[in-house]
Amino acid sequence: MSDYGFATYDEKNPKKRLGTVNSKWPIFGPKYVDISRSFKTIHINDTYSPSYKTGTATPVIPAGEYYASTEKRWHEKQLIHQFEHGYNFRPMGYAVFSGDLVVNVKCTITQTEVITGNTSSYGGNFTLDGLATQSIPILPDVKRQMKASYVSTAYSPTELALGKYFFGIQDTSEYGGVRGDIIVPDSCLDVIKRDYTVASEYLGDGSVPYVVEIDDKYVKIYRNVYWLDFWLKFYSSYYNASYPQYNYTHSVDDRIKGATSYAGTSIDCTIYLAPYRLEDLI
Amino acid sequence: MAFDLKTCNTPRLRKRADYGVRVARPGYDANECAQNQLVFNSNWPIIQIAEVIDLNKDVETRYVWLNETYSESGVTREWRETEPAGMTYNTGYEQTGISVGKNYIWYQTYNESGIDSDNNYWQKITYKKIYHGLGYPPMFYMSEDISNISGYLIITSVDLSVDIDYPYTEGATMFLGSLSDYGIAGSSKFGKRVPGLRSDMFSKLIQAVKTEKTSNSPIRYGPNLEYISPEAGILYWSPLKKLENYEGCLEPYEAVGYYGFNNPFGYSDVGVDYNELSGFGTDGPYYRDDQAIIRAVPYSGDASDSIFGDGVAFTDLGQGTYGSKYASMVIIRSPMVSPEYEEIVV
Repeated sequence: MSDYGFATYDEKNPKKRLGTVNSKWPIFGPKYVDISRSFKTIHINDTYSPSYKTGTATPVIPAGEYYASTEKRWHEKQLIHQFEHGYNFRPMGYAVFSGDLVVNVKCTITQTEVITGNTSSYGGNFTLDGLATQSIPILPDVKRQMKASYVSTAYSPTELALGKYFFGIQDTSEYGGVRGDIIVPDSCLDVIKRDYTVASEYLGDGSVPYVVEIDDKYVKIYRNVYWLDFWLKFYSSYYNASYPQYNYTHSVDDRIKGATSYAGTSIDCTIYLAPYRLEDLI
Repeated sequence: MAFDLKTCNTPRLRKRADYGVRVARPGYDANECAQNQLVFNSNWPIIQIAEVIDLNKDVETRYVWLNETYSESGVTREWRETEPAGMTYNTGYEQTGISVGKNYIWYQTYNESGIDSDNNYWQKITYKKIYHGLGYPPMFYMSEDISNISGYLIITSVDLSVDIDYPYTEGATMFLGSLSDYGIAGSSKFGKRVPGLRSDMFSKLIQAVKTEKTSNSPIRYGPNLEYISPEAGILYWSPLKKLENYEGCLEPYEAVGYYGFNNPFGYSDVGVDYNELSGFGTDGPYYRDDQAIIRAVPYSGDASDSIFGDGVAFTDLGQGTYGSKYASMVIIRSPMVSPEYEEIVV
């Protein structure tokens, strides 16, 4: 092994190493000849605004019960950009994000009520929309952004200040994250409140907005999008033969849909790839 | 949260003596030109891979027992390397934690708890002590963060315990395509496929390493001041060298924060130095890759929501009870901006 003497030493005391480099230690960075592919900044302007998804099965209220709910969640990992890194193997490296991440949580609730008998005090017929938008500055904080996500080959900005997005019907949140609250008339809250999960539905489940993956040929940037479709049926009745004027039956349908998006995001994603694999170091 | 430039930037700048190699861009004199006119300088503190440690390598499994006593005056910890008499264990769980010391990796794998014959409560910590031999606590990465392979620790040339601030003042420059090969190439200790230090490889520079030695004192509380306020910035650094507000000055910089302790298992006993702790020798302080937040801070006023703060702070977020005593923040900068910049609308 050759040594070109890049390690620096005190001239008066040759045993004392002053310098900060060692000629036998590899640099953790790209090679100039490949640099245009392995040191690259992608500026992402995100404009995607998803429509709601529909797919929840109709809830069936069991005999003797008064309510039932069903829900369906979707997660899509959408490939938004890719380029060839030029190596014929999977290189070591990482991505750093910096800029303004915008998280939007939108939701809509449609409530219908069918009444027989007395006027209900439980619900009503309405459609309400909620939207929360939060702009989150992403500092180039290397360590957290190098954390791998649930995909073993991914390098992603996990553990960001947000991490979860949800909507609710309550006025204040005890959680962090972004809420797309819907203001529901007090007279209609009772039904929704019967199922706590409605009030704090997570759409992101702690995952991250963008993920960078490096395979044997490509650098790929993905966007994580989440949807929810929640359906609640509630039934209530009163019957007393002696007081028929008070008898009633009514059933309430609540359909809540939510979606996350990052429209408005303006963020730099810079990728650094070393010209070797981790396998070469072990 | 604000910072004070006088304490934020240490006056102890590393000496700019250069005992090695300088390679200038075409048209510049390597002896006289500015730092950003160099392609390579052997005195630049670049990020190099010093060792790759297999965390699952076959080394002796070790155990240590911890008894914590809580009182009005605070927490007292007793450590033993032999099992207390009459131990009965009732719970056990995976508890992973990795600390780096001067010469060892302390890899905590499992915790159990139980009581001894005198009804004292003890935790039994299972760990491996793996030699790295660098003589300083290095900045490190987990292999799963930078590759698709897990279970390795990549330790670098950067010493987390020494507070330095390099005097680079030039802005990042564009890559010049002609600078491909100056013919300086070292072979590496890792074999043929991995080059050693080479003038044709690009590296980020270490701009500063910040420790508590030169940062503002954190806000401590508790009977023995053993806790740090979760909202208090522990370490500050700013690229500003004078008292002017340059909005946007942080952009070329990246930051990495590490928690430091006087115990390899993530404890800090106030008033106890790491080399006084029984059984752990003088390998500390011990640095951990725990969750922490790097925040932008303006020169004055509250914590900034803007990425264009005047400085950065390493903030203890929800980890105040760890009582980190030797935290370290590494500031990294790139001497060049990306040669390829692509804007996409998606």
